[in-house]
Amino acid sequence: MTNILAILKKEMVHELRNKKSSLMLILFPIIMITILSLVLSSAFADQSSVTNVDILYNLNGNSTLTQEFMNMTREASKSGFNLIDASVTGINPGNITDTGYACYIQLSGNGSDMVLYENTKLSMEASITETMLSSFIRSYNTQTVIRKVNPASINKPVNFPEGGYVQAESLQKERAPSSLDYYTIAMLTLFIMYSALSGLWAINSERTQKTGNRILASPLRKYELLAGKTIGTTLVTIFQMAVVFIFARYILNAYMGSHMESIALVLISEIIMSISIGISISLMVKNINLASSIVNFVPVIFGFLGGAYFPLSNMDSRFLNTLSNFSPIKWSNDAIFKVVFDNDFSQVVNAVIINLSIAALIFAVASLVFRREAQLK
Amino acid sequence: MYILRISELLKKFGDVVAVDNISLDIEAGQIFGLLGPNGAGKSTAINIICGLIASNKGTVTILDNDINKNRHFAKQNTGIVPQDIAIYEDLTAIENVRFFAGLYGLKGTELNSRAREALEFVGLLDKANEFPKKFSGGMKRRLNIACAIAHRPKLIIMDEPTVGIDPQSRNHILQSVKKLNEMGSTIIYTSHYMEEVEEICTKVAIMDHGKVIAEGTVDELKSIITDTGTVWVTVDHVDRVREEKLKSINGVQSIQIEESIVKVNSVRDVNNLDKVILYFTSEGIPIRNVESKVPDLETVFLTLTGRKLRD
Ligand SMILES: Nc1ncnc2c1ncn2[C@@H]1O[C@H](COP(=O)(O)OP(=O)(O)OP(=O)(O)O)[C@@H](O)[C@H]1O
Ligand SMILES: [Mg+2]
Repeated sequence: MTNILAILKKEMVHELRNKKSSLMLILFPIIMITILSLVLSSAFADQSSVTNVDILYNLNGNSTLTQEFMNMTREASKSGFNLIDASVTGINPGNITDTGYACYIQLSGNGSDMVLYENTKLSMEASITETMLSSFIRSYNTQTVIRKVNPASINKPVNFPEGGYVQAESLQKERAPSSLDYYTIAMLTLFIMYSALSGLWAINSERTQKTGNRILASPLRKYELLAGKTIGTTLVTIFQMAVVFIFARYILNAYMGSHMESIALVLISEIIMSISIGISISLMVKNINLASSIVNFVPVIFGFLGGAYFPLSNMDSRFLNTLSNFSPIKWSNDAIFKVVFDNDFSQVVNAVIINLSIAALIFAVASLVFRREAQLK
Repeated sequence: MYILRISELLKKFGDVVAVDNISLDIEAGQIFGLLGPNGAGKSTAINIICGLIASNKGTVTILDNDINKNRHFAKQNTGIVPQDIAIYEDLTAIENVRFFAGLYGLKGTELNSRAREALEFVGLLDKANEFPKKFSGGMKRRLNIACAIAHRPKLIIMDEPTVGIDPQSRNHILQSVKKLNEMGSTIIYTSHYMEEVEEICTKVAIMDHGKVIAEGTVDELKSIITDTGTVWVTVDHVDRVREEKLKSINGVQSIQIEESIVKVNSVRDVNNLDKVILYFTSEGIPIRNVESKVPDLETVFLTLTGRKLRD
């Protein structure tokens, strides 16, 4: 334990004295958030007036609500919502994810129950639809509840994994993200991926300075070295990102909702994953040029897919949207956006579990590689 | 008491046999020199002793503990001065020493005082709070040593601690090695430099191509090749030299004359150079050059391997 602490402490001293690292992971994201949010603010202002969201609906029976719903569809079509009768298309709610429709709305005959099947691949459109629906229900019938159903779990209707019954009121979006809100989260999750470079550096500097072998010749055990390095680098990265977050939140006044602990949870799990990736790649790929290329390249791809530069859902490619589900930046972003703007915590646990699982997995592989070699060369 | 025993140690890197069946017993209290040209296998042997690489065969025991069975004990009692300087450029001198000594279990005020002591020992105490970035090569080498000794190991292994430094730092290091030895540590000292090893080592092993080709005290090694000393005198008029007169000088054993060089072989340690030279001058034979061929380790090595130690 004292050994882990010794390594941890040293790692933090290295990192905090490393001006390049502070510049890259504190100053750079702050500048990016400031610039992007200023330059692209107009792109976000009219984001709520979406063009062409295709939505399916299925009405059973005839009630005041269904009639009002039909009135609403006509109004909604003027602002870009194309509501189409599902019976014409023959698509059923379970297949919604394989289509270009954002949602499948099912209205029961007596009008008490509205079930919303969201296409998870078009989550942005789906959540806009959700907002539109909830304001519709608010204006016509406060008794109706929207039941959100994940199409994947359609065969187990009793367990609603995504929160079960939600009161229409709570679905009312408090606000849509401004460009500052958007880029604060997007840049944090992006630059956290770059903090993998700190992990890479933590191992590689022991190689270039030849100090790694000196450590391994001491009574310190290998796992203590790895644990100390991982925890130390993680703590420093948490500190760096906290500075960025606090700056964006309190100096630039980004809106971050009122659930900091959930945001922190997602960001910290992403940091742990990112540091683990950096340390592991450095252990597995001995060629530093190759290793740092990998670590530099990964955030660019994941960042693009995760919407770090611009929201990908604005683009019309289903392929890209599917691919983006493989980006840690995407699921971290989604989880945080839901917390901040929807008060929806359903994706926090998922994002944290996935991030930590990836960290554990890549660590396990790297440890196997590292264990077979006594030297750090 | 043996501090280190190496038995039939073998290490291959692919086809290269870096350490070829070495056996060595090193008694406590020695300054043990490990001498050999580039690629002899010195560093490989040391890395095995330090637990940094696994051997293919053989055993190493430190104070009767097998390093593979009681790794912690072995490491705790060893200090390594690596061939390549291994210090952190962004930690101050004392932070470097404190960090490495801390890995051996030293804590708090004891850690601090031992770190200062180690820095003082290598003459860097006044630079304790400076960053090694600004240090000269010699100062870095000395810090490299300080990092290995603060925990007062019983066995200190120094892998070429004087490579590429100024004579003053080298001298300082050689004196430190002697002092560490006097304070009770056994030292293993590898080098290319004969003079260093001759000056400080109590015992020497010569390695070449992964094998120990000779072992003993410096004097024992010298006596392997010869028990005589030779003086080469280059003269004009070799024809005027009378061998029997030279042979009558005290200690002279034999005379060889090759072209213009008169090779006078004497019993070792008899100082008769003045008398040999007096002979030539008194006979009016002009001397062009005198070379004393006292055997040194370089000659020992040359004789054993047919190669020079350093190119
Ligand atoms: N990791 C390695 N992989 C492959 N070959 C190696 C490795 N380490 C050493 N060797 C080879 O083993 C032999 C012995 O090397 P070693 O470094 O032990 O020699 P040395 O006596 O310390 O030389 P020097 O005086 O140059 O430090 C050399 O031929 C070297 O090329
Ligand atoms: Mg060497």
